[in-house]
Amino acid sequence: MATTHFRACVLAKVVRRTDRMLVTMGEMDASEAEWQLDAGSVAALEWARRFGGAATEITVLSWAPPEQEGLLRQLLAQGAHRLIRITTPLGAEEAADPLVVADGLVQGIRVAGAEAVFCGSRSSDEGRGATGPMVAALLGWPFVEAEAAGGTQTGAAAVTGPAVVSVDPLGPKPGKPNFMAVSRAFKAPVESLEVQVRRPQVQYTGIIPGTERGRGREVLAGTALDEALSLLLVRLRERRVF
Amino acid sequence: MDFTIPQEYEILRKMVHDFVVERLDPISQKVEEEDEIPPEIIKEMAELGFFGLPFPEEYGGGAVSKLGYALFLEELGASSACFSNLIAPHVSLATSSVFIGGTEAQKQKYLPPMCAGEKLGAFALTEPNAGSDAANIETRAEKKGDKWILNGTKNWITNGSIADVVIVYALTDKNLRARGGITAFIVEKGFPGFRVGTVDVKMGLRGSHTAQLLFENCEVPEENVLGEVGMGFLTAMKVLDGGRIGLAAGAVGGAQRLLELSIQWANTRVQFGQPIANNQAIQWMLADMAMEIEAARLMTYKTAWKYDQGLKITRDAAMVKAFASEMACHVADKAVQIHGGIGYMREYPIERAYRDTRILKIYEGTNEIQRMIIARDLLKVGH
Repeated sequence: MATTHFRACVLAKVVRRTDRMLVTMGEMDASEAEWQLDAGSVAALEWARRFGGAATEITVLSWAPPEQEGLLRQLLAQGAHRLIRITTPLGAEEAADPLVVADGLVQGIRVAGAEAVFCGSRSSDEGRGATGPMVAALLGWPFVEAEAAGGTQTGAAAVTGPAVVSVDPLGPKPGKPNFMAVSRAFKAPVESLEVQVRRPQVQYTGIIPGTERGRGREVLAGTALDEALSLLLVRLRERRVF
Repeated sequence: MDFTIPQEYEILRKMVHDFVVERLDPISQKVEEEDEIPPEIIKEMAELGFFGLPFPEEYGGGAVSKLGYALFLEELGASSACFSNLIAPHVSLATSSVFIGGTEAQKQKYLPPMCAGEKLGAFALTEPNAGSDAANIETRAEKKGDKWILNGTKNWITNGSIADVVIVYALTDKNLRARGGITAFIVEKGFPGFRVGTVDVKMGLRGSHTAQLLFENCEVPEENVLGEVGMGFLTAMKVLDGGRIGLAAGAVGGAQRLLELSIQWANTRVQFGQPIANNQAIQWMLADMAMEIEAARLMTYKTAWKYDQGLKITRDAAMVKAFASEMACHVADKAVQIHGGIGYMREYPIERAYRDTRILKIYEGTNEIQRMIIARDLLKVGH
C-alpha cells in the first residue's frame, strides 16, 4: 500500500461496559452500564495510524447514535482526521441487522474513498466478528485477520491492494491524547451520512443439529441466524455466487 | 438550569482522574519524603497539556473554559496538593497575568512556551511588609534609559525557585500606588540582578517550593513591562479573581478524596464487633462532610460559569475561595477524627492532607480579606 496520501477508514463501535453491568435476578442488565468505545475500534485506529504512515488520512465511520458522538470524538483526539456518523431511516431493529450495518459502512467507505479499512475482530458486546468479513465481501476486497504478537500485529503486511483488516482488540492502542487534542476534537465537525440500505430477503428455516452437520462447518457453526447469514454471505461472495 | 457537564469535560476529567490514579498517587509518599516532584512526571503533565489548559489554541493552549479548568483542578486536587500547587500558580497566576495584561507581542513570545510547560511561571506580588495589603508593596522600578531597574524582595513565591518566568509587581509611582502606580514586569531567570533567596521550609505542601526572590538593580528591558505602565494592580486583581476559582476547585477535589477515604475506613474499621460506619456519630460526620463539599462544588461551578459568561465575579470568587477553603479544613479535621490514630500517622495520606489543607485559608488572599471584599460589595450593591 502507498505510504503517502493514503486513505483509510476505521469502523468504530460504541458498547456498554461489560465489567460494570448489574446482574438482576440472574440476568445481565446493561441499561445502566456506562458507554465506551469498543476496544477493537481503538486498536483499529492504531493499526490505521501505523500502517499507512504519517500521511494517512483516517476517517472514522460509525453507526453510533448522536448522543455517543463525544466518545467517537476521542478517536479524532487520538489521530483520526474525519468522523462520519452513518444514519438510516430504518427503525432501530432493522438497522441493527448485520447486513444493514455492513451495507451502510460500505457506503461510508466509498464516500471516504478509503484504500483500506480497519476494524476490531469482534466487539465486546455482540462478539460475533461479522462486520469485517461482510464489509469485505460487499466491497469485494480481501479480508485479512491481523493477530497481536508480542505487542505488534502481523498479518496484513503482505497486503498490497485494498483490504479489510480486522485487528485484535487486545493489540496496541494509540497513546493518550493531550488536552489540546481533545479540545480540538470537540470543535471539529462531525459529518452525517444517511444511507439507503435494503433489508435482505432471507427466509429462516431452522438450524441443522450438530450431529447431522456434514461439510460446510463454517456456515453452519453459528447458532444465531444473523451469524450464520453473515458467514454464508462471505462464502457465497468468495465462490462468486453473486 | 442544566447541571450536565459537557461530554468534552467529562473526558478531560477522566483523563486527569486516570493520571492521578496511575501516575501521581503511587509517588505521592515519595514526593512527600523527598520534597521533590520527579522531572519525568512534570514532563508527562506538560505533554498532557496541564500547563496551558485555559488559554486559546493560537497560543498553544487547550481553549478550555473556566468551568473546564475548574473540573480539571478538582480532579487534580484529589491527589497530593503539591501537584496542583505546581500547576495552578503557573496557569492561574503567572500565565494568566501575561494573557490578561500582556501585549500581543508578549503573548506571542511567552504564552506558547508557558502553555507547553517549557517555561514555568511564578507570580510575585507578596512582600515582607505587603501580604494582604498588596497595594503597599515596596519593590520599586525606575526607568533608566531603555531599561527598568527593579529593587526589592518578594516573599513566599510559589514556584519561585524553579520558575523560568516571574511576573513581578513593582511600584512605579509611589503617589498613585493601586491607582496607577503599580506596574507588572516579566522577569526571566538569568536577568542581571535577579536571584533566588531562601527556599522556605513549610508546614505542608512538600514537593511544592516557595522561595524568596531578590531584585538587586535587576535590569528589565522596556519590552518586558507587562502591558502598560501603571496597570499592574488592575491586572493582579483580575488575575486573582480568576485564581480563586481554581483554588476552590482544588479544595473540593481534595475534600472529596478525604470523604471517599473516610467512607472506606468507616466501612472496614471494626470496633465493638461492627464497622464504625454503623455508629451515628460517624455517619453524621460523613454527612456533614458531603453536604459542605457539595455546597462548595456548586459555588465553584457557578462562579466558573459566571466567569465564562463574562459576568463580574469579584464577590463570588471571594465567597467561594473563603467557603471552599474552610470547608476543606473542616473535612480534613473530620477525616482525621474518623480515621482515629491512623489518621495522625505520617504513612497515611490523611495526615498529609490535614497539613496541606491549612494553607488554603491563607494564600491567594486570606479569608479575612475575602470577607472584606464580600462585605464591601454587599454594602455597595445593597444585597
